[in-house]
Amino acid sequence: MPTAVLQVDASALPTALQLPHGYARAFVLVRWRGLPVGQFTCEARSGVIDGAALLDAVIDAAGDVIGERRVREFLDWEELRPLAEPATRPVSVAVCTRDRVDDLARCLAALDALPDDGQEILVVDSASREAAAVRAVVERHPRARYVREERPGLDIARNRALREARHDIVAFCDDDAAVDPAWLRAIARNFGDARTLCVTGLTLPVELETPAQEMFERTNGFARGYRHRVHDGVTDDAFFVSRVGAGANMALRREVLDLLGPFDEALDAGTPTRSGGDHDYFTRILSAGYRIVYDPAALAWHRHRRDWRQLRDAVHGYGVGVWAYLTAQLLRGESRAVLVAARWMSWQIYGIVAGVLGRRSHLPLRLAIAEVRGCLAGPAAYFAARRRVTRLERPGPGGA
Amino acid sequence: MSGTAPALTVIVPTHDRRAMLTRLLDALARGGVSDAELEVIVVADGCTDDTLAALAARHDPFALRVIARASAGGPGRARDLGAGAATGDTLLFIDDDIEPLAGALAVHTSLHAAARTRGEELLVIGAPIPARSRGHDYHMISAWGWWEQQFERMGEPGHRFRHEEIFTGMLSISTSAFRAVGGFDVTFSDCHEDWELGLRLFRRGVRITFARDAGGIHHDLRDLPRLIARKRDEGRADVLLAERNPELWPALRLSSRDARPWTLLGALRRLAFSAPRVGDGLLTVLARLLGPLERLRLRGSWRAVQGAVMYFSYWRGAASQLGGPAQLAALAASVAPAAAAATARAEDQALEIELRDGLTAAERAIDAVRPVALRVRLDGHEVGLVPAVPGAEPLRGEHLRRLLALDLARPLSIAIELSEVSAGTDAGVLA
Repeated sequence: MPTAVLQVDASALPTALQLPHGYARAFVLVRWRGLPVGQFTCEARSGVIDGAALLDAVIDAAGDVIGERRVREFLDWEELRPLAEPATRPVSVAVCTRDRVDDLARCLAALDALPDDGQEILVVDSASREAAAVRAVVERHPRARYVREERPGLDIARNRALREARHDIVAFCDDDAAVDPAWLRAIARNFGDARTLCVTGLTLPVELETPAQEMFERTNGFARGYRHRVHDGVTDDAFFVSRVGAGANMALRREVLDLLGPFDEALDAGTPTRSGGDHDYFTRILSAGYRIVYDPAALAWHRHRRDWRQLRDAVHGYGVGVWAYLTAQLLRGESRAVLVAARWMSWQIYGIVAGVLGRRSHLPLRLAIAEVRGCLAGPAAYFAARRRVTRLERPGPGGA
Repeated sequence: MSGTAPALTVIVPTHDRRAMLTRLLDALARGGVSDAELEVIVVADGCTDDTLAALAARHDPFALRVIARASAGGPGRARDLGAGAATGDTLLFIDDDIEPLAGALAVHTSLHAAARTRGEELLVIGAPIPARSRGHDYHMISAWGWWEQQFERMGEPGHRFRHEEIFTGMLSISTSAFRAVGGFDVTFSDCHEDWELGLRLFRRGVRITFARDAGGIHHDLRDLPRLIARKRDEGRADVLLAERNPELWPALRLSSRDARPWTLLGALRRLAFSAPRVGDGLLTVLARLLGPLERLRLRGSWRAVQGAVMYFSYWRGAASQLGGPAQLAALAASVAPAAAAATARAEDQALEIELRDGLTAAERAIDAVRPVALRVRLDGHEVGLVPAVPGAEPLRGEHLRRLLALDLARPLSIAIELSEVSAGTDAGVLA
């Protein structure tokens, strides 16, 4: 049975929540005067969550955060710039895409709905085979600019976006995500401090139509809570980046190119390493003593993989990416990457043993095995990806 | 210079750092404040390099006066000497390793001018922004990050300043306030004389402001040997601070029980008193570990070892000032009861604030009294106590919302609910 993805605003709570036809369960985002403050999943009786059950669920899921919001309203005091006010700095929005025309159309439609704070929208076509179709989608959106990148690879596309962007802040949005109207202002308001090189946001499922999507949200979901958090490289563990956020919803100062260098082009989607480019960069930011801010008001809706084969493939890819990124860190002299890899593996093995023994674990057995197999393939994948990057950089016969 | 007093006297203590001093004076000469408004006093503190010759050869657009001391007495004494000779309405102390930001002087003068029109005395702390290199050297990251964290906290609206946030790197003060409190206590020499001055200015009711753009680039981040020496100075200076300001005792590391006896830190603390030479040897070993740990990029271990080095150095300085653990115990016995009594007295006299009448009225009431502690209620429901904080400035109205939002959010949230229930405006839902 699929799960309906719904939203309620606790400042004007309905007397009951009616689910769409065919759904018996709901994943509900709770807002408070528009701001995301919590989430819950709730079974419905006859397609309805009654008022008492709804109120209980909202209080359980978001009572503390709502209490904090109410205190700030009472005091008329905010640390962050209100989202109703235009951003004080323009941002370049970058969408890196490859052959996902339908997703890209939905993504660009959501970007069109952002308030106009002078942003530019940059679509980096990462070596799509259907370049003309991608270009046609982009051309339907006057604000969007199409940039063709011939070398495939998500990190290559990210670097291209950083170089092409006209503004000092570049906000990355996955092509299979659709952003909330307040997303960009929430991103922009966190760059006031010069040590903040990166801002990440809350990413929620746009749909939970299949068991695979529900499993992904439960085990690998991108949400990192409903409190604003600052991860500071001076005091925080630079390798503990899974709590920081994800590349699907992140923004960077363009000066990272000068301060830290480009993304590692041997990492992430479109390469043998499959993922890990965002975590590698988060670690580099924190290792250098800079900060990453997580703001749940920067909300994007992501379409998770729909079937088990895609899910298993994605989880395997995360495994490959984790150890590939740790290999990259080790080669840069970060000896602790070995300890982190060992800790990660021991955690996975615990999950497998728990699965074999029939106990609850964070992943079903077959997914846990897929992730471990991915980890083990990670180092070799990284070296293969590096060789590939070198090949791509070298002009071929008759090339420029 | 005309017959009228300049708006600003810049005082620069310096000792054998001719190149840095030249960079600073060149930055001042690039302007921001009209020359007639500016007087610069360089106190050459026992300089043995070519500082005096370089100063004599300068042709600056502002009035430059040089006070040369035959032997070095430390920057605290040098600052005091410069302040004694100043004729400006405002004194701006700048360390010789700072290069003021363009326009920083104008920020200082305009802030003081605005304060004067409000009838206030002001202390402006400009940010000594560490010059960040592109490298990832752990000492540099650690020092730079520490300073930036300080600046961020101090720049937040409604921040309540504490004594340890008063630093002289680029600090300005109205001349009248500085002289009224008796200037720096020169017995502190080169450490915590700024903290001590801050305490006396707090008592006088001087307003404290932090302005990043009133600062400069700090070119001289300390390397490890100088950090160790500085930590020892801090240990010594804290003993003096405790002796002269017993109410400060709980805020000083001297009073803390932050290391259990069987831990490495506990052992280092014991060694600082009982076998300082052995401790020095251990310090050398620990300090030598830092290089390999950094090469292996083991940041957590590096931080722990560096922390241990700093911890021992602090206690080594304190021990050298005190003499032994018995003297520390005697100091604690003499000042801790007074500190506890001062806190209890302040909290007994806490200003009662009722938020029912509005936040603006509450803020005005606080500004009228400048209490050190508050007891807050909403419609008669207890919200909580804003406690007396040793070494913190007296409260201002502008502190209130921040304190309530960050320190008393939970009880205030409950009080709001109770208040709405009593008023019948809460229908049992959230809004």
